[in-house]
Amino acid sequence: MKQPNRRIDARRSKYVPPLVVLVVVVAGWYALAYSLDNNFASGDGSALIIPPPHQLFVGLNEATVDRIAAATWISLSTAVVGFMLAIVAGMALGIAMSVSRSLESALWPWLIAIQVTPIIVLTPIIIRVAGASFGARLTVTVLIAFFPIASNTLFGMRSVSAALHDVFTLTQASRWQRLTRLQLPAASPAIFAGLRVSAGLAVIGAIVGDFFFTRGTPGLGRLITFFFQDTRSGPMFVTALIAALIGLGFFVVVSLLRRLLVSPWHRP
Amino acid sequence: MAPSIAPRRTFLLLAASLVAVLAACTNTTSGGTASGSTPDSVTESATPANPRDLADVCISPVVVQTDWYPQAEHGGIYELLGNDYTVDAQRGATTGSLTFRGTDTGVDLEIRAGGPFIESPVVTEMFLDGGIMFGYVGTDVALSRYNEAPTLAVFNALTVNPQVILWNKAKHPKSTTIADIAGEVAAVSVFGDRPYMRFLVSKGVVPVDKVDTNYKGSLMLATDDVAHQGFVTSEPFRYTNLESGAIDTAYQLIHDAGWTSYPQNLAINKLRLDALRSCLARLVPMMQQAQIDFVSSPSRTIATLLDVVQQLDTTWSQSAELANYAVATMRQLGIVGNGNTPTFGDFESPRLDDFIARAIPILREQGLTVPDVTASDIATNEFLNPGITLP
Repeated sequence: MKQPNRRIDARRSKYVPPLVVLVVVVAGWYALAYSLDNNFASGDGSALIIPPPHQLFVGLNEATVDRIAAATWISLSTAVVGFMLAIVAGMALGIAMSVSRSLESALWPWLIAIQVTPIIVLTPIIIRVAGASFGARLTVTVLIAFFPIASNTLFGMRSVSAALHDVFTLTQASRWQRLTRLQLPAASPAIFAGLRVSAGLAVIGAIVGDFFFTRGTPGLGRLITFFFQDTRSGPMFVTALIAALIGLGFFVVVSLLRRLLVSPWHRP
Repeated sequence: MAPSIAPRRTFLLLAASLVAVLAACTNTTSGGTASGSTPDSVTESATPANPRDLADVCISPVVVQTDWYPQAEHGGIYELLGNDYTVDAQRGATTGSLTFRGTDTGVDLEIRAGGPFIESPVVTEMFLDGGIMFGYVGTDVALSRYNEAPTLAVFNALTVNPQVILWNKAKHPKSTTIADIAGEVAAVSVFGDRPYMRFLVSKGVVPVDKVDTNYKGSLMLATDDVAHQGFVTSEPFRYTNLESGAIDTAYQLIHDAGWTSYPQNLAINKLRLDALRSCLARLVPMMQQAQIDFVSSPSRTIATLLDVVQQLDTTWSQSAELANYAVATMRQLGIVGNGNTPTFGDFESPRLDDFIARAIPILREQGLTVPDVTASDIATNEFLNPGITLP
């Protein structure tokens, strides 16, 4: 008889807290929208500064939806391709540095320098060199996203226990076997931790970099500024929401991959 | 702070009344008619009471929200500012008695700088802040925001838009139009997603891949071989006075390229029209005359503009030379002018209807919800004095 109650309790503890937070956020949103002076002093009753949730889609006519869709495609494709390249570049660098101490000492300071330099400083230089092309967008995204992958790969590769290395030495394993059967699997929890951070950064890179890519069809970043300049608060919020959802989507995909590939055998 | 009706300034008003009576007598004795030839006489005959007394009909202060830092294009409004003005650099507001040709009208005038001093476009500020009576709203903006923020333009301060696309004349001597230069440079740089640029793209004047929306107001021609937006009243002068070496510029007005929007209208929140009607009837003719007075004899108001700019203490700079250049250019190019009618500052229906027909498809393509409005929905000549004309 106690079993069903436990299940109900478990479900409650799983779903009720997020729902409570959701209700609080929506209530806070409404409170903010209706507490701002003259927010609804417009001719048609729409919000001038912050639209309440039920007015979010006011002004989303066909032309606006088309603009948002085009911008979403540009930012999403930049983030996806940029993230893939960041994985390749980050892991390659991490592995290379784990193999060679001299390579690590040569590259590490530069990687740190790139990481700590604000991307808004680098982006205009990249555009000057590469033009306002898709390649330049990718470069910005890769630069902002690759470092956590590289550093976590290096850390993971170096963290393999000496005992396990001894086992591979005893079995006379080749360098390739040691890399693919010992070091990479052992480093995968750390690599996936880096991937989760980089996933968010790739989306940020694609959208922040977009502010500087001022030619051709705008991505989400520039479209938000256009809506801001025209005080079209509804479309502006929808665009921001899509940017957040893309970031969330990246995070979820990486988490699922981690669960599939690492969780079955890894216990932190 | 809520606006309030200004306390009567008995002494000043008495003096103003005397001046008005004397002026009326002068007109009568000189054989003036109801539609007298001088602006003053027409204004005087508009109402039996002293039309310069605004205290009974206008909220004080009369707040004008401008679209940028103080500059010569706003000269007509600063012309109405009395010498007793003070500057609030924090708010970008300049406040003094509203003075018409040296006579205090009994209310205060507050002129607010735009640009970085406001969070939203002027048209939105007019609805967020109920204290604003007039805002500078171009016809294209009035159309694009008509649903959410309906405005009614009551006086056009600039008949022709001073907005230009300009380029380095020495590097492109054969280019005389925007279409010419768009074929020669790598980019045409403008601020944001501007409807006029969409119009130029739609007409094939500028290829879409050459539109750069990142113009930030710098003098780009010093370093880049591009074309960029600017004001004919400012940028050509600034380029000829560059410290790094003068650059001779060529330009085309976007007005001449077909975007014939009235650029700088004094507009009100349309929802407040009935409440403001009696004030507008007396104040708008003063605005007409003040703009003419400014361009005819700008020295006093230019000194005011320079002083206000200095007191605001921002990165924006002005000089007497630049301001005088601006006034001369406005007159020379007809930017301040009567247009096709003798009345100064009026809205000409054929031009407005033609522009509306041209602009609405562009604005809708931009995703803006624009209803089918007519000229009378967004502008009126009701409050203008038809006898006021630029000589």
